[in-house]
Amino acid sequence: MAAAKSDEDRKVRRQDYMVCVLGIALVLLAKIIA
Amino acid sequence: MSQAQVAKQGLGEQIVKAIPGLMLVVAVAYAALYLDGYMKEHFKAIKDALSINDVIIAIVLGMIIRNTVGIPSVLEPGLKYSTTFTKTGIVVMGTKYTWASLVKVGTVSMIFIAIMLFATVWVMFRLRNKFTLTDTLGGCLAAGYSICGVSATVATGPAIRAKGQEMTYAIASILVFGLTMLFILPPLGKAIGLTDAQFGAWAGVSIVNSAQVLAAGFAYGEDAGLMAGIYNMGRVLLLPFVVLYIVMKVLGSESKEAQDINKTQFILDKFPVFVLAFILLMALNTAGVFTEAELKLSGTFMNYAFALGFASIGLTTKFSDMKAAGKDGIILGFIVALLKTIVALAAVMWILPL
Repeated sequence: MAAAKSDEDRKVRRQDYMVCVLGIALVLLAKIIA
Repeated sequence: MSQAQVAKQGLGEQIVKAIPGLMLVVAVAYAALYLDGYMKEHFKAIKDALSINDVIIAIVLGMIIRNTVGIPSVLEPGLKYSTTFTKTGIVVMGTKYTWASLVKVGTVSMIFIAIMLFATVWVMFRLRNKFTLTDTLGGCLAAGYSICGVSATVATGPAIRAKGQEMTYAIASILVFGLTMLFILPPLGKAIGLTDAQFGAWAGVSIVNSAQVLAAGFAYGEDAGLMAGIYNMGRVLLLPFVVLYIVMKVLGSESKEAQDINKTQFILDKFPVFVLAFILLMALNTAGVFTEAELKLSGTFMNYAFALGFASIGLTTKFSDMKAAGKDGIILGFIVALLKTIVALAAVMWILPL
């Protein structure tokens, strides 16, 4: 079924969650050490 | 190694295997940042004239290494994080904007971006019959050349049941176009006399790969990079809708399979979640949460993330892959993308309120 969530969708979603955490962590780090 | 085996591989093992390659990525990114600083000090005129910056140097250095001395297989696992680095940089980039800057770009620009996206897909499908391409390859090319290159192709491919090599082909074609534009648009923009805002909008619509959009924008100037970032984000936000449109076109909107698709669920599945973190940081910046020093350091971190991402892209760009991709898809992609580039240039010069 074309509409089913594919493995690629899941992989991209996991990567997106990770970059959200990484990006926010970098800004928090900047806030702490600046 | 199959995907199932990779999935079973422990996270610890994956990290250990990635370390050597990541060290090379860091070395190339560091060299690029150093060379950029050196050129700024000693060859500023040439640097400005050619619109060379750290991200372009990182890509070129990586490509030189990959295509001359080559990359030992032990380094390969660490080279596949270009999208992770680039997306992280885009999230941090949220601190560079406020709601006011978004409003300034305006509704007109968002409508223009949407029209360009859907028009690109439509034109691609109209011209596809003149080339020897399958429906699925046409769909991958339409996704890649309209929205944001690699991510869009990856989001579309499985939904239209494209083969792995068709997705790889589409991605290679898009990256070749982006690389070409990355070196042509900034000097051309300067020759035409575009402002930073105009160039950023132009690059943001014409170039499809997010990393290349930002590289071209920042090569032109800081404000151009920020404008390109906003346009890029506009395209990324529309990704699920355009992918749905392509899937309906490939399957045929009258077909039972197409009618069976739960469209809301489809859009939710494809929604680029990292955009939310970008918006959160932009909202915090609008609320005045960050000081000048904190914003400056965040900007430095953003540059590091981009330098790492672009170094990875350069290190994984093989000229032989581009050659193997064949000519039909590349010709069709280039024709459509060039049309878009010309229309976008006319729009930023005479229509959009920039």
